[in-house]
Amino acid sequence: MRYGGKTFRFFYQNTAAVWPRTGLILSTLSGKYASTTAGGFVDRRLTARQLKRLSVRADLGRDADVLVVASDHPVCNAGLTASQARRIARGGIERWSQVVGLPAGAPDAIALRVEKTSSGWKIPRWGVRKYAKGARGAADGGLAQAARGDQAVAAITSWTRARGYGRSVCRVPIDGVAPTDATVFALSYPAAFPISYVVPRSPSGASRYSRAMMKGFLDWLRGADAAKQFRARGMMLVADGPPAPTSEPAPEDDVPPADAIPVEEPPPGALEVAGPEG
Amino acid sequence: MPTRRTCIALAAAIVVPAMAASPAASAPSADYAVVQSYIPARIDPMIGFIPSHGMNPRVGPRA
Repeated sequence: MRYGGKTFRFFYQNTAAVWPRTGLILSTLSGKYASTTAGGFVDRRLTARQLKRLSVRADLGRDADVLVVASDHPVCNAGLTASQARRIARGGIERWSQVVGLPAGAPDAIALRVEKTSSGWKIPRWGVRKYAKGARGAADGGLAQAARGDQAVAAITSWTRARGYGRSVCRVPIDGVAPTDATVFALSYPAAFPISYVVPRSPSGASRYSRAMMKGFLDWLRGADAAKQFRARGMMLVADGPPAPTSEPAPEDDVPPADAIPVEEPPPGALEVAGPEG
Repeated sequence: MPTRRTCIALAAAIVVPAMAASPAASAPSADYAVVQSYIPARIDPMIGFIPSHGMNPRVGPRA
């Protein structure tokens, strides 16, 4: 690749660290350890304060936290508020009858299932870092159990996982909005979030070599190869545009969506990749 | 700040991928580059993803 008048050729031997909270990522990138060769995938819009230190270089995709139940569960029609979903995750609501009327004989105790990593760590969703005491981890977040018709299960997982289950489960509407490809893409579903890649504006040790290294990575990240891999993992890509309309109203705009995150691009010919000249 | 237990989980979650397949012998002028990327855990499609020229096989494609 050409950068700053020189030719570089890299083979990338990268590392990725999974952190529990985006706040830790942002503080690391914007603090004294900010590096030209470090960036972060973030799951929210940056605040004005964060944008002073960080730069969004790729608006990649959309995802959402969802609460899934069996397809014919009463809460499917009634829906929940975001507050109720969080309280179910935390354990403040332990019985379905606290949020919806149940038919005779239906199980009342909520069986909370939470997506977990291969190391057994429960992935934080709905803003909850400490789940209810009785929450059980499952690799699929409890989706298969809900699909089998278990009326007790409340599965906490992602839209990326749940969307593949179709109508075999119910993705519970939150604040009156059901999670669908369209509502998640448009971020109109309350628990939807954007996925973007950010880098420090003022990294330490910003040499031309290290900036070229990051530029090569960003070029790849925004290219067809990375998009193919993201798609294979179920991510809804911004580059693919709004999903085709189904039964629910589709977003009005074409690519990019009206709520697309502004992506900062260096001016043509500029040397800057991640941070100011210097 | 993360608890000790969380730190242990994080340490276990750190992904150090294998080097991308690269014909180093045929391209002696190339340098190996490392771009470190941080990933919040709830970005489900990214878990196990190597932000490089490969994919960590420990998490397969979604249903």
